[in-house]
Formats: sequence, structure tokens, C-alpha cells
Amino acid sequence: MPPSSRISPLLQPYTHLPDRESFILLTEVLGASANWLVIRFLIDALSIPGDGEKQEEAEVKVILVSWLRDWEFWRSEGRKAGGLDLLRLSQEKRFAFVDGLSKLYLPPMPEAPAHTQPPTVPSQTRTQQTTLPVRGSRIINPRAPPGTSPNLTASPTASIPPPSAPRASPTQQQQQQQQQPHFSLTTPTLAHLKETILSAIAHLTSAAPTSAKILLILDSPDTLLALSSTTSAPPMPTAQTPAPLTPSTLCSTLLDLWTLPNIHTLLPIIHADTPLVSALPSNTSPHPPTPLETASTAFLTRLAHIADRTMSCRLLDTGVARDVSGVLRVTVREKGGVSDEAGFWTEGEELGMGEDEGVGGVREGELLYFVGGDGGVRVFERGAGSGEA
Amino acid sequence: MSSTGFSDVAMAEFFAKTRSYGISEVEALESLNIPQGPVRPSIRLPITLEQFREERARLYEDWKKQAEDKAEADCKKNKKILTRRKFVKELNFTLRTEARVKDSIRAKMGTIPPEFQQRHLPHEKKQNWLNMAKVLSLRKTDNLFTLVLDDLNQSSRPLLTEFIHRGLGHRINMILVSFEAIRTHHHIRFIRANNLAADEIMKRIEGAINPKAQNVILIDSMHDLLEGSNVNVTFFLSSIMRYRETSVIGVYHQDVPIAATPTQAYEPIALATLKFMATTILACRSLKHVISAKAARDRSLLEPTVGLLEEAEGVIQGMGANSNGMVIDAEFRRKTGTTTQESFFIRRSQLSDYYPDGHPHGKLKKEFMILLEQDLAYKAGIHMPEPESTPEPESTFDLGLTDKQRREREGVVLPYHDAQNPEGGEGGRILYDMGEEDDFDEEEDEI
Repeated sequence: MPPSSRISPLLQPYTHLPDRESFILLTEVLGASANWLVIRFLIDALSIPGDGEKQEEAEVKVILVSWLRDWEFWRSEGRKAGGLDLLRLSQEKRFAFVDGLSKLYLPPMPEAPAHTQPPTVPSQTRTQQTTLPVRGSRIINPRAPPGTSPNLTASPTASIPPPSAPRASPTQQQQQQQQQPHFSLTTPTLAHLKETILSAIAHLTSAAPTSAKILLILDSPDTLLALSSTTSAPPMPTAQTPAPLTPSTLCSTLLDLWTLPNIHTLLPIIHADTPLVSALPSNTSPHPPTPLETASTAFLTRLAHIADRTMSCRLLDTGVARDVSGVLRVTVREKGGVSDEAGFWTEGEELGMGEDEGVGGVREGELLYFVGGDGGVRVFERGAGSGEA
Repeated sequence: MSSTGFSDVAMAEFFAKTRSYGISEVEALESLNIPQGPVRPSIRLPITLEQFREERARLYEDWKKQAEDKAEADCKKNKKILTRRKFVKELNFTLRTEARVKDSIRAKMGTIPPEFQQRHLPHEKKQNWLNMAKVLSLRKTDNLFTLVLDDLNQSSRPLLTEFIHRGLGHRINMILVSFEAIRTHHHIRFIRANNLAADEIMKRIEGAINPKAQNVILIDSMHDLLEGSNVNVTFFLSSIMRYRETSVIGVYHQDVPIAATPTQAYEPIALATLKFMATTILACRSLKHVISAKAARDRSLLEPTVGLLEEAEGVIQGMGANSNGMVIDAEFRRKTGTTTQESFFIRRSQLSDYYPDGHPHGKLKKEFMILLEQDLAYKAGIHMPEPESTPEPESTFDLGLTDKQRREREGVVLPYHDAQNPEGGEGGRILYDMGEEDDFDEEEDEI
């Protein structure tokens, strides 16, 4: 199955990487996860370009930073829903995974025996070999909260590795590189996040440093706000201490990541459940919002103000339906036909847009989608429930 | 001349505008509500619109060629080696003259529909319009701090772009202190501020201020300045404003909450401080949302909520957010202490709105900002959303009306309307305009 046919033509304009550098915000709620949409972005970016005409275009590479889901989840999702072999792609240096889940607070655990085998196995049979153990571990790993680990409950303070030694020993790291070529976040500081992504960029662009366009996907960076204890404390910025983790510092870190070399499009995925946006200034609730509510609302609204395009997944307003998983709403910020060169916010852009179109010829709109059990997604317009994908 | 009493050029301009709202010409004509009675005198065009355009293009080419020839001849005559820069300068001067001529031609040949003419406005409205025009063109010298309020449903970026266009056209030193953008146009002095401490930002602003020119400092998000106890925003703003001919335009996103530190809990909230200091407050709203709110008001319904306030989990931005052109609720504060409020509509600007000289373009040709009540789409309520589920009785008859039927029905002049005509109506005669499908039956008339 060619990868492009996995994206519905209705969805195609939204998941295609825009021509100019852009900031696309994805939001999801508990019942309507945006994972399927991320996979569609991955398919579009990583599908093999055609033989002839597309060769001169810059190659698109992807860095996926995930705080809530681990490598196995994305690998199996990518294979099941997208037909992508992420392991092979990462060996080809087109894809890099930054694990923000498994080593952020836990000490490096001895790997399960199924995981340590692959380095000894010859590369031809590796993909076959890993398939079966992966299925088993996927069910356990992604959903298990860190608190259930006996290590953490035994010594909570000692379990956090010191910032000075962010990585495990070199040999272990090498092993990791061989079996799952990805990077890990080991401390929840913003400087470390930036460093890790820089090294991921360096890893991807080591062959051809200039030409690559990188799509940086950040899966749930708002987790950091919930994890950090400093959101309520008054920020005390001095030159020495690292910046405290507040919505504004997190936001400007994301902007910094956008300015890193070769980063073309920034794609954060944020949770937008009602409790997380309940601290709106217009909300006249008798109870003052908690600091965490304020922080998550501020973070989401700030990003939405920066984003060129917002794509939000939500449940059907009218209730649960058997053949509809949710609604995807796409809104764009810059609309209208400014036909001159002076977009003023990006240098030398030429916008020849229609009336309702935004950046990259994207129209605002709402689509319904249905995620099937096999990972396939049907996308259709309202009222066209039985339409083809 | 068309049947509406306006010249073809005027109508063409009018249609171009209405088309930008997605309104068909027929609807647009209806919305104008053309008065019955004597046709308004207008200049009759001796040529068609196409001929006029060709003529204009030819004139433009002639002027350009003449200008180039003249510059070249001057160059030869004076035996001077003109630098390219000088040449461009001279050419620009000629082009500017030419643009003026073009405008005067246009002024002679076409008139603007009265909806767009300011002179029909009452005095206060005209005053408000002038105030807004001054604020927009950054020419209001006593306007030191303009507070721009926006939310996710209407970003203030188009308005800031408008300020930048006009500022650069007037050769004002534009300084953008940005917490949200990572780069801008190279004609703007850009300070990327999101990792800087307040005193560092201040230092850079001071470095960017040109004491010999007018300076305008745009801050695209005030939140980082307001958050945390390290910045005293009052002190910050007033220390910028003490520079001669320097004013500040600050954006405050209304839906971004600010975490109050323990000391700030005893201070007035940040927005109140900003509103107190502001000399002009501009609140941005999406035209589509304003129109749907008006439609709801007109029917005494609850105004619809959009975006984050919608009762739907997971909705960030309302549909129709950031419409093509925005509504601005402005509040002007005079030195005497009196305030005036007014709503305006600004469409997106186009390059053809500006003179082509200058960097990157010249001054604005003609102010296109209008009062909201002058806006045709707002007047006609064209974006009015249809109620989603109109309860219709089950019937085999089609009770609805087609567009054509509705138009014709509305066009019928009822006898009592006719009787109220001051010149006296035509008695009790049934007023009926023959459609093309009617055939006149003489025999029936004779009975």
C-alpha cells in the first residue's frame, strides 16, 4: 500500500508540510486523541518521494519528542496505521525519537530480555524477531504510570538522576543506540530538552547538513508543567539558576526550538480538556483557579496565539456515535488576500491566497473522522457519514 | 450608467468590496437598498470600464517611460554619473507625481458610493473617524500608549501589520519587541525579547530608538512583562514614553491568564493597570462573530459564544475566527478626561492601497477604514447563520421559498405603502409589475 493513499484527500492539505516555516498546534481531549493525526503527519513527511521530479526538493526529516508514550507505542502505531517502518527510517537518519517518558524520572532500568536480544541478531531478521515481543510489551509499557514502579516508591529522591550526568554509561548508551536508535530525556529541565533536540538534529543532519527540512513533533509538552513543582513558586530569574518552568519559559523554549537550524515546522500536541482551560480570565467561577490550572490554560492559549494553524480533535458534540470517532476543527490565523510582499512577520513571503485561505492555502473547516480498529482512518465531511475515506 | 444611479466604476469598486465577503452582486444590490425616486446625478462615462482600464494602463506606461527618459536625458546633459540610488530616487519622485495624476483621473471618472463617503456622517461620528484615522496612521502626537486587546477569535496581527505598513510609509522608526515572532521584515527593528530580562529589553529598546525620528514601539505580547515580580510595567512603559516622539503599542491577549505571585495578589490586576495607562484602547473582534452576535441581538436571542467559551470540550478557536478584515472597538481618551467609543471596520490592506515608492512602499493613498455601521455586510447581516434545525411541518408541499421567489416577494409594493407617498399614491390600484412569464390579457382587463 503506497503511503499517500493512507491519507484521505480531504485531510491531505492539512497534513502536508507547509511551504514556509510554520507553527501548527494540535490539541486533543481525553476521548479524542490526536495520535492518528500525528501518524498522518509522519506518513506525509516520511513517505518516499517519487523517482523523478521530487528529488531536488529538500528531504523531510522528523524528530518526535514524546512525553507520554514510548518508542514501542509509536513504532507499532506507525507500522499498523501508517505502514511506516520507523526503525528502518531512523537507521536511515530520517527519523529520530526522543523519549521523554521512560527515563525522565526513573533510573535506567535493566531492559527486558526481549529488548537486549536484537543487537546480536543479524539485521535481516531483526524486524521479524522484534515483532512478536513488541506486541507483548506494548500493552504493559505505555499505560503504566511511573508511580507504580517499585523503584520510585522505595527512594523517590534518589531515583532522579543528577543533572550533571544526564546519560547512562557510554557502553549502555551504545547498546541503546544499536537496539533503539533514539534519544532520551533524563531531567525535566528546559536546557536539557534543548540540548537533546540539538543533538538529535546533529544526528539527523550529519550526512547533509544544509538541505534537510525537519518537522519537530512535541507530544504533550504540557506534561512538563504538571510535573514541575515550580509553577506555583514566584520566578526568581538570576543569571546562574536555570529558568523556572512556567508557561512563559516553556513557551519561549518552544519558540527557541523553532529557530534551531533546519527546523522547518513545529508541531506541539497539547491537551485541551475543559479542566485544563478552565482558568480563563472571563471565567467567573467562585473558586479561584489553582496554579496548575492557570499554568496549563496560559500555556495553551499562548501557543494558540503563536500558532499559524490550530487543529483540534474533540468528541462529537451530539454524543457518541458508532461510526464517528470525533471532530477535527482546523482554524487558521492569517487569512485573506494580502497580495503584497509585506506579510512583515516572515521575510519575503509571497501570499497569493484566496478569501478564506490561510498559510499554505489551507482553509478553515471541520471534518469528521473515524479511527477503525485496524488503525485505518476515514475522514469525511459533516453529513457524508458513509463517504469513502 | 447602471440603473442604480452610480457610475460603473463606482459600482465595480463596490462589487469588488462585497465580493470579498462572498456576497453575490444581486445580494449586494439588495443590501444597498437603493431609494426609489429621482436618480442621483452622476457623471456619465463616455467610455466603458475596460476602455478606462486600458487608458489608465497606457497613461501609467507613458509616465514611466517619460520618467526614465527624463532621468536618462538629465544624466547625459549634466555629464554627471548618477548613482543607481539617485536614479531610483528621481524615478520614484516621478512615479509619485504620476500616482497623483492617476488619482485625480480616477476622482474625475468615478465616484464612490455614498456609503463610503464620510461627509454624510453626523459631526461626532466624523470626529471619531478622524481620531481613528490619526491613531492608525500614528499621527496622533498625544497618543502615547495604545493598548490593543485581542483574543484567539481575532488575532491582532493584521492590525499590527497595518500599523507597520503605515508607519513605514511615513518613515517612522518601527521597533518590534517580540515575544511571539521569531523574525520579521528587515525594515523593522526587531528585538526578540522572550529570553531577556527587563533591563536588557530596555537597554535594547534604548539602543533602537532614533532620537531624530518618530519612534513607535510595538510589543506583541505584554504578558511576559506583566508576569513575575521582576518588572514594574508602569515604570517600564513610562521610561520608554519619556523619549521625544516615542509611543508604544502594546498587545494584551485577553484569554491568557496571568499567574499572580503572592505580592501581586495585593496589586490591581495587570489589565486594569494597562487600561488605566492607555490613551487609546483598541479591542479586536472578528467581523463574522460581530455579525452573528448582532443577528442574535436583533432577534432578542442570546448572543452565541465562540472559541474557548463554546460549550464544547476541546474547542480552541471558533469557526470564522480571524475573518478577512476585522472589527475594532475603540476607546479614545482625551486630555480633558472625556472618552469616546466607536466601532470601526478595517479590511485587509493590499499593495495597491499604497503608493509604490518608498521602502518597502510609500504612503497610504486613501484611508479605507470605515465605521462599523457603514459596513455593508454588517448592515445587511449577511453572515447571519441560519438556525440549524428549523422545525418544519411534515407536508408534501414545499413551503419554502427559493431565492428568486423571495426577491420577487420582497419587491412587491403593497398598496398602503404606496398610499403613504407624499405625492399621493395611485389610489387603490393594484400595483403589479408584469413578469416575463405573464402575458397581458386584454379581454380580462376590459371586463
